[in-house]
Amino acid sequence: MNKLIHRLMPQIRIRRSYNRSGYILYLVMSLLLVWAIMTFSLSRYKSGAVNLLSHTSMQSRLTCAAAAGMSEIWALARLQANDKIGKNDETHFYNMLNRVFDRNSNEVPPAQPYFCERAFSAEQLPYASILAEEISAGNIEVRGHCRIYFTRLIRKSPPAFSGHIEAIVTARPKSDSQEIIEIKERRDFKIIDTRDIFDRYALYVKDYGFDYNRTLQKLYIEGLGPPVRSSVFLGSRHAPPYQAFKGISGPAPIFFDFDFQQNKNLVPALIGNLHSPIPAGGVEIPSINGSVRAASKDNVFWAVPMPLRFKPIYDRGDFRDSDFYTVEALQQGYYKTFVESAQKTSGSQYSVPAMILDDWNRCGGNYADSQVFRMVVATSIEAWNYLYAYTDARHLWDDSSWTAFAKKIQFSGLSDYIETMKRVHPDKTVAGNMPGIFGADDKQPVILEGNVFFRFFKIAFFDEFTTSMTLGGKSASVEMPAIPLHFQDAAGNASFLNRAVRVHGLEKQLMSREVDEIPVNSLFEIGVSPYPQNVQAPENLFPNLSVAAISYRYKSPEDFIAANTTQMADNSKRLKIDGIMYIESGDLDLSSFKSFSGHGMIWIGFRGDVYLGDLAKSKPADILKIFAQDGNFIIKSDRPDVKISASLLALTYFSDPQRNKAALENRGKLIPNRHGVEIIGNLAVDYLFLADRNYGIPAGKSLVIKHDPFLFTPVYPKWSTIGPVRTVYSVNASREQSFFK
Amino acid sequence: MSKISKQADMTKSDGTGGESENFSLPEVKLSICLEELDSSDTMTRQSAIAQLHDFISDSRAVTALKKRRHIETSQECIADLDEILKLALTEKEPLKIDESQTGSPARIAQLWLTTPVAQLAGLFKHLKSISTEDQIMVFCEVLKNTGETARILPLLELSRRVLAADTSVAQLENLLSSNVSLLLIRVISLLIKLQPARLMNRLPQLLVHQNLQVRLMAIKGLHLLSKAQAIRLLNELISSGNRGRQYSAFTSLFVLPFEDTGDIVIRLIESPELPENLEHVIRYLVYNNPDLRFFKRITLSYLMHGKRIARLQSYWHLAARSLVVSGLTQKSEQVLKNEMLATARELIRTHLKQREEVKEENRLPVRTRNQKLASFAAAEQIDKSQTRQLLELCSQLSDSDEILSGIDLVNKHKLFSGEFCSWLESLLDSDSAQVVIPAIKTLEQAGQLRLLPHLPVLVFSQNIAVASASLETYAGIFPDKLAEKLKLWLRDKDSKIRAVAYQGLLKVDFQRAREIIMSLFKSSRNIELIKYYSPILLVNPDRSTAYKLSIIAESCSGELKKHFTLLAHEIQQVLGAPENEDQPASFINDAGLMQQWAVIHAKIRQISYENRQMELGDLFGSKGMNLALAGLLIIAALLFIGNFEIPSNLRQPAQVPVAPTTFSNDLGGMQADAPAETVSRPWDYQIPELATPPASLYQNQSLEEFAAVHEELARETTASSTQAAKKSPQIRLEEKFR
Repeated sequence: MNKLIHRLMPQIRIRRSYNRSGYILYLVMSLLLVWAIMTFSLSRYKSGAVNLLSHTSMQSRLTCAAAAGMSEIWALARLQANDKIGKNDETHFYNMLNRVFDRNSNEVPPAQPYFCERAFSAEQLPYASILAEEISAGNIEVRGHCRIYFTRLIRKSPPAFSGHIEAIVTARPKSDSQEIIEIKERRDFKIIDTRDIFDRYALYVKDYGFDYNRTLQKLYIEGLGPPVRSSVFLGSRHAPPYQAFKGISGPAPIFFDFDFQQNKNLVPALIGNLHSPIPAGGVEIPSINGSVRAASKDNVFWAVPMPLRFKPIYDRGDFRDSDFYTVEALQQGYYKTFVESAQKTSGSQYSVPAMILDDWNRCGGNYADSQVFRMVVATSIEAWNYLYAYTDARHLWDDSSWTAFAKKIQFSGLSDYIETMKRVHPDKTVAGNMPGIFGADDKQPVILEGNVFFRFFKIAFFDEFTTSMTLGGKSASVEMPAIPLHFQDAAGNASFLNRAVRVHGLEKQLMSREVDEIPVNSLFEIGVSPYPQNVQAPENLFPNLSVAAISYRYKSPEDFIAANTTQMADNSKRLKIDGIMYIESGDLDLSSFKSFSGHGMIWIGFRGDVYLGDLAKSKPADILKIFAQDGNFIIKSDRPDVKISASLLALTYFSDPQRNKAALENRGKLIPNRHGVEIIGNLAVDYLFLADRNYGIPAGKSLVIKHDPFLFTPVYPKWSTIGPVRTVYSVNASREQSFFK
Repeated sequence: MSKISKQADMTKSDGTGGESENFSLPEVKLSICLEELDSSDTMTRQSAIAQLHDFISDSRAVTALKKRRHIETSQECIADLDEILKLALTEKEPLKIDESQTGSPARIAQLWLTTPVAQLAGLFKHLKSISTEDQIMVFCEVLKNTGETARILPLLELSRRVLAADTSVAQLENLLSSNVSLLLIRVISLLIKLQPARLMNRLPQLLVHQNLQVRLMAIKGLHLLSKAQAIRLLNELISSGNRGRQYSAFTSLFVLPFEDTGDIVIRLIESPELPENLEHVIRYLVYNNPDLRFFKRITLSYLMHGKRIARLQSYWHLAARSLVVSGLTQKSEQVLKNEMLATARELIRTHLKQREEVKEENRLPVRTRNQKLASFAAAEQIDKSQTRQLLELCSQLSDSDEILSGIDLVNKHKLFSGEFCSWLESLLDSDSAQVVIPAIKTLEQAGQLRLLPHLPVLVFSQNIAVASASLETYAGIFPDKLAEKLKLWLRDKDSKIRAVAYQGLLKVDFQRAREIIMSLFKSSRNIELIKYYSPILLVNPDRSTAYKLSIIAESCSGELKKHFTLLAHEIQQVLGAPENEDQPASFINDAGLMQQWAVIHAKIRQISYENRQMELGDLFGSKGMNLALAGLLIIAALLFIGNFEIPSNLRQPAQVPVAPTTFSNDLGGMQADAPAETVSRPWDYQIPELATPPASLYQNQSLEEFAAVHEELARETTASSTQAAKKSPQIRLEEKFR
């Protein structure tokens, strides 16, 4: 063998060297062979993996398309949930969500769950379809379906429901019916009725207020109507312990100073009020003294049209002559007219002057014992004309001094009024004018609830007269001066002055007095209504809320602002409101927000003030209610006047026995912080104040509350909130296990 | 000419300055001023008038001033003369001063304001006799109430204690805004002595004052605040071509320390023409201010330009002598000179790669073998026919020695006619340096203009001696033409041409050379080129150069910046100037005025007395140009708008139809245009149909129900919400019912 090899080897070498020219072809052929083997192996052994890859790729695309479809459904749901345009379209989410309210109570929770559904064809998911076409060259079809389940009744009346929306989206290739991706997703929703008892109030104040009659800082209410009428409630909780309020059953009365010049539009309504209308009167007091007539003109807004003879009143009432013996003015009149002139003319023993002097000496200065004086009184009762008129505080006193009008003897009957009031009701010593509760021009009626009365004044006197008197058989002409009928405190001794009489059905006493029995509400409604309608304890009234109705909860105001701020194109910030948004506690500063959009309420459950600047709606149907349960609204703005389009409710409720509920710092307030404030919405506070050196409204500015008609009659009384959290999410790729059964 | 000049001449003649120390500086000054008073230059006269104020007591000065007043035509000078002559007047009748008139400072002040100016001298004597406080009051009162120079100037002679008072200094500071130059000069001079920091605020304005004397005084003030800037400005003033300015600036050399003005003096010495009286003063300065650094500097200059400027040698000797006489050196004068020469040579050697200078051989007259030539040489004078013969002879000469003899004959007999010049010109093409160089020298005398076309060729001669000699001649007789050529050669790519440019720069006046080099430095980015020419600046060290280099360094970066900074630094080192020369004076820091000074310093840096050539870049960077360009642009735009109609579809982009994809939340309709948010009111819109909702809707919660909700919430919330104490009640209302 070896030998053979040794023999052949040289030959082989020779042949190889001889054939060397074809070796490149040989090399190329070998490489091609290796390539072919590798390709074969790959196709043979790796085809499974390639299949898997293409399968996974298709599934990814299907998932992508399905997810797009799902997002589109949620976008549609959010867009349509509170869009009234779809109220007649059965496939519209607005219609689907609100349909429940039309159902019979047996068909809805709690009797049984109720659901409605809607299918989405590929055409109804246009954006997902476009995406599917792009990623699969038109091979994928996306379809969806959604069901709205109403599972719980969270408020009976008006009804409110919660439940969930379940959406399923299917994406499948058109070429292969076996492949499928289904995504199922569920989100909670709530549909609540945002209306509340406070909506009908333009202003709701629980506590006794001191500032209603302020002249420099005014409160104006611009109510709604017709056909509806806004309400205003002014409560009297925590009324000051004035002597005047002692022994009063029910809320302490609040008085509005009627100013007949400023409130001239109200004069007819006042005279014709529904509580005790006043007969037609004159514009001046019909005294026989011309100067009195002239002085009364423009200083009274109603006067007796003609002199009233006192004698019939005397006869009707339970008077005695002796009632008048102590009347000082009468005594002085007698002394000057009779005694002094007798002393000057002292004639013979039996002359009239001598008789008068004799009588005067006998009585020893005690008028009641003077025969002549008694005769004069009896004559006066026969001759007196009783005159009275109505005026207001501002025409009687100016700050701390009486006006010239009030100083005139005939009109000086109220000279003791101030002294009395300092004791019994200090607020009444100030002359102010009533708030613009009926609008700035007193032409917009509202229902005023609460113990609120007008205050104005009656000035009354016996007119001067001249008569002839027979004395000692001789007739003599007697001139008696006018006698002002002085105000007498009811708590003091009863006299003929404050004795009940009937004059014109309205006047119950002879004396000059304050008229404080006409309810303000009686101008446009029937009489006084001390409490809000159907409410027995106005101080216990709070927004009608339940924990179940809360849509969003936030630990702090910062969390709330972070989640609900929209930056606008002009760099201003807009607040997003969606249902009841509950903030646990903390100060909420909304002063940097220029506007809000949506419908709902911000509710600060525990301690926290709300800072507000100008805040506008983004559209008229938007409604924002802010309920500070243990805090104040504080105005914070660079501008002197702010305009807030919101319903502000600062009604304190806490359960801490350590804190005094009557303490001023624990009562909900609107703190204007030296700004003029205009609220378009309404205001409900525990304590309303206007004037305060540091935190009140500046002099010349006002608090204007314009009742929002959209608040009174909301466009969307039912508001749907769809939760941002997916409570269920699952993906299915098996046709056999399809979510659709 | 005065005694001064004679003395100076003596100094000059013996070259030692032996009598310089006997000079009286006021005399020198007065002499200069009196000479300058007759100058044709207004500025020089103004300067002289201002300075003569110091000699107002000297009758020579007053006489000269009066004489000048009669012939003066310049309004400014007339005004100054009037003011100064008012002071020179003294009334024959002394002012009678009443006791009642001088009872109080206020009265004296009043008297001062009303007394005729000529009688103020009497009142001044009285004023000096009252207490210092009263003098201060009078001083302030007068300054408050008058701006009349003649009334203020005498007051400035009050004692230092009076003037140094804070109130007085404040008044003086107010005077800085005066527009009377004479007054300004005096006030600045006073403030320099009293409180230089007070000058600071007005310095930028004073430095550009129209009156040169004011500027100079301001420079003097600036010297206390920033030595570097002051020297720079002075340098710029003296370097300016204006002779009048130079004269005026010259006086500053007396008032500033010599160590700071040394390089300016060098520049003056190097300047091509130095008026005689200035030369005397420079001698005085050099002799009286022995300074080793100056000596080093002048040695350098002597070595560099000694050949060209003969006077350098005498100043060099004088500087050495002053050092020896002052005892600042123990070495003998000769040793000192030798040592310094060696040091300077070493410095030049390290920095300059000079072409080997060919030592000029002292050519001995050759005894020519040409008989004809010999006969001409023997003749004392030659006539016309002989001249023609000589010309013919010369044109036939070919031997170098004979040609040289011919040239000597031309020189001897001053044969500078056109024919001889042509012959001499023809010799310039010779290969022999021995022929070419004498031909150049002769042509220099015979016909400079004929030499001119040859010089730019000869400087590139292969023969170093010829090249050197021709360059020297070029620089000597046509410096301007050479400078023009140098600007071209400077940037040439050929290293030979650059080498000639380099040598040329060394030959021309340094200021001119510096100008050329600086313009190269400003415009070139070729670092090699810049480095090539840098040593020229180094061997002519000058503060001004260093400053200019630092300015250029600020406007560039990288290697260039590094190089310029280093070069400036090296120059400073050669000058021996301290590094922190531009640091503000310590009293500025003490007075807490550093920030203020920084602003003013920046302003001062902007000031320059040089006639700057505006470059195109500067032009476009200037505010005026920008405004003009903006104006043109607006006009162009207006013309365009006026003449052309813009197509409407360009104004408004086509509206893309938008599908109604936005659904309204409002009343079920399409979105209405919302009004501005701040004015938005519900009743801007259609109010919903108001209807009282059913009573059942208003079902209210009982307190118990509400409490239950509250409790439920309390359970779910953290304790902090319910238990945390309320923040301190910041808002306390006026509780009216308490």
